[in-house]
Amino acid sequence: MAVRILVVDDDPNIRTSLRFALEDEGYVVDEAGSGEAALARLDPRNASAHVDIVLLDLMLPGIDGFECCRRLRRTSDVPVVVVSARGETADVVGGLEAGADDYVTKPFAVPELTARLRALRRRGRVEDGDGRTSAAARLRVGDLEISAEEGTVTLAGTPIHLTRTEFRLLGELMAAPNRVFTREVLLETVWEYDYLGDVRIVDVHIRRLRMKVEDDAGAPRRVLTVRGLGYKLVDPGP
Amino acid sequence: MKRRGRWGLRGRLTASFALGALLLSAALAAASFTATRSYLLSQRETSAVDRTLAQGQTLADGLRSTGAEPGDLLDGLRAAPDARLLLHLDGRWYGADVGEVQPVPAQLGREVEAGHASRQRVEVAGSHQLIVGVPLEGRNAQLYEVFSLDELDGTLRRTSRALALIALLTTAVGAAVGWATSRRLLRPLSDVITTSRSIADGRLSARLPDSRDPDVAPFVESFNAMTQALQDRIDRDARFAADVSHELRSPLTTLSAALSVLRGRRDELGGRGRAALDLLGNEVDRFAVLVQDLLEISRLDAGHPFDREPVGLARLVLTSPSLARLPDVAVEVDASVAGVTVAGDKRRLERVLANLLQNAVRYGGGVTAVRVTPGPDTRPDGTPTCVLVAVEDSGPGVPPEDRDRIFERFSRGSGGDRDGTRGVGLGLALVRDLVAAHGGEVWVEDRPGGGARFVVALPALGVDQDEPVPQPVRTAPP
Repeated sequence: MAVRILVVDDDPNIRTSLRFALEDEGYVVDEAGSGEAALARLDPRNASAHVDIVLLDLMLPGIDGFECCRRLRRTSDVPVVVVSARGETADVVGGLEAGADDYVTKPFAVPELTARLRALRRRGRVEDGDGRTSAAARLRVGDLEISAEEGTVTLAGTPIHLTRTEFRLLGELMAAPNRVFTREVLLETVWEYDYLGDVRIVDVHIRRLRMKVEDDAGAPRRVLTVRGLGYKLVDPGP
Repeated sequence: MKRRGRWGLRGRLTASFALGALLLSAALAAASFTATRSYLLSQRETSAVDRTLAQGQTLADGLRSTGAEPGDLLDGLRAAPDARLLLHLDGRWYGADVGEVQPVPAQLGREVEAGHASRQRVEVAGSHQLIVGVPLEGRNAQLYEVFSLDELDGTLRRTSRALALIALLTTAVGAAVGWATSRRLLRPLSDVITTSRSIADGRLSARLPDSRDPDVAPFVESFNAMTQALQDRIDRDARFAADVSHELRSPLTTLSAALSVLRGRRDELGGRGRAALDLLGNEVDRFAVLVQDLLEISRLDAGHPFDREPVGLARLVLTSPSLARLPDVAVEVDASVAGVTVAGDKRRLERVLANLLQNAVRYGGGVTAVRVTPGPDTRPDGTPTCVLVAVEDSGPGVPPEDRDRIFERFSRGSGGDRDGTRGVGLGLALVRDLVAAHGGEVWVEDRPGGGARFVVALPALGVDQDEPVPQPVRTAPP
């Protein structure tokens, strides 16, 4: 089944040209000219709501991309790639903290964008059991349990909701408890970036993950920072 | 540059103060010396005249009452310790030294002989004397007393020496006060120098400290207003460049996406259509690079900080996607720099390499080699202090007179014959700015055997043993 992408941008020329380019690559493309239109299109009550990936421009009139992403995350874990107009840290980090999975900076080349979309799709296939994730069927570290097959995570028996990227990141960390993962390694295995990828993506996702699996995200006990090296997951004990 | 005067403002001020003090103290000293001298002299003269009058009276009485020899009478008078008496009686001199023809000056002699007590100062063999003459009552006789003024001269000499010393001290104090005052006066000036130096070094936020001095405050205000205007202007320029490149990003996104659609349908086009598409494609790609360079350079101009982390230069070069697009290029990494890191932003350093490669491809006849080597100096532990990344080409090289200029923005080499489009845009300017922001240097030199060699030198941060170096290192194709 074709992958359906929602392109959210207020510039009709960009929407149209991206639609043409992505359709040539085999994607099905829907367009939205504003954050409001995008949210309406993605409303779960909408029967035809299904979208595989959202390509969301941050600079939108009305509700901007950041707010749009935040509202979307309340009801959906659809993968979101934000489009930053400037590539400034505030934009990139802000977009990721609002819940985006990845970002591209204008102007981007179409192959660059499709590489990101493919990586996102592969991440989403964890539950298909295609073997790309190093997480075994079911892993347990302390009171944290992840099931690759069911795509679920429980903390002390209570299910917690993760986006696919967060799920994949946690899976990587849980596959080798106590091992230190450098940010570069995580960027490569989870996001499929090469050496030049932006490690801020990892940092923001680790922060988001902590909000969900830690009792106090400011004083993490499970997902720890190893200064100057990277991150590791440990059993916090009783 | 204008030749500076031999005397600075401060030197001149100090000299003026010293000169003023000297003139004033010298005048005061001279005046007090004159007053002291005339007072002491008149005192001395008065007492001398009184004394001689009394001696004259005694002598006249003696001559009148006794028939004694005038010479004996004269000897009988008690002369002052520093004085001697002379008697002129009936044309004969008593008490004079033998051979002394004219013991008293003629002028004085005439006045006394005319019946007036009188006095005169004379100089004999370098010492001053006061001669007081009184006529004796009833006789054609005059008594002269010759006082030595040596003691008075000594007193005056000591006084003048003391006054000269005081004048000298006053002058020195004047100079010191001048030096201190000028320093106080010139403090705003030295503030200006420090501040304008800061501004010239790029710290545009530097301002003069506020002053409550009513003479200085307007100057401080106008100076600070000027630097504020300058900063606003520069900020505005930087913002303008950033705004322009930002505004160009949306149309570029459309162009790029539309172009990729066209490229996918290249085969559907005729020969001319394909040629036009290729032209369009090349220019859009170049345009995109230019816009990104412009944005990056305006970001650097605006002083936006960027994150630095240890970056292994050898690894950066060996994994560089822009270098990977040039598979025929020889890459040499010196074993001694394999794990050496620099403090930097790897994507910006990749940009440096990409721009140098692009420059070599476009203007240097293609890249022949990329070398990563240690700098000439080493630390005590044997690691290099800097790492050199050299990009070599086989083109015509860069003439020495253009070697600075080609790193300027939108510079054109003087050799217009090389290539009409040698307007190298911002590529090399961005290289220079990025390298400088990393604390390094970039230059171009001749490659032995022809061509140019662009060298980037970056200060080494340390050695990361874990820094993996992909093997094998690419070398020149056979």
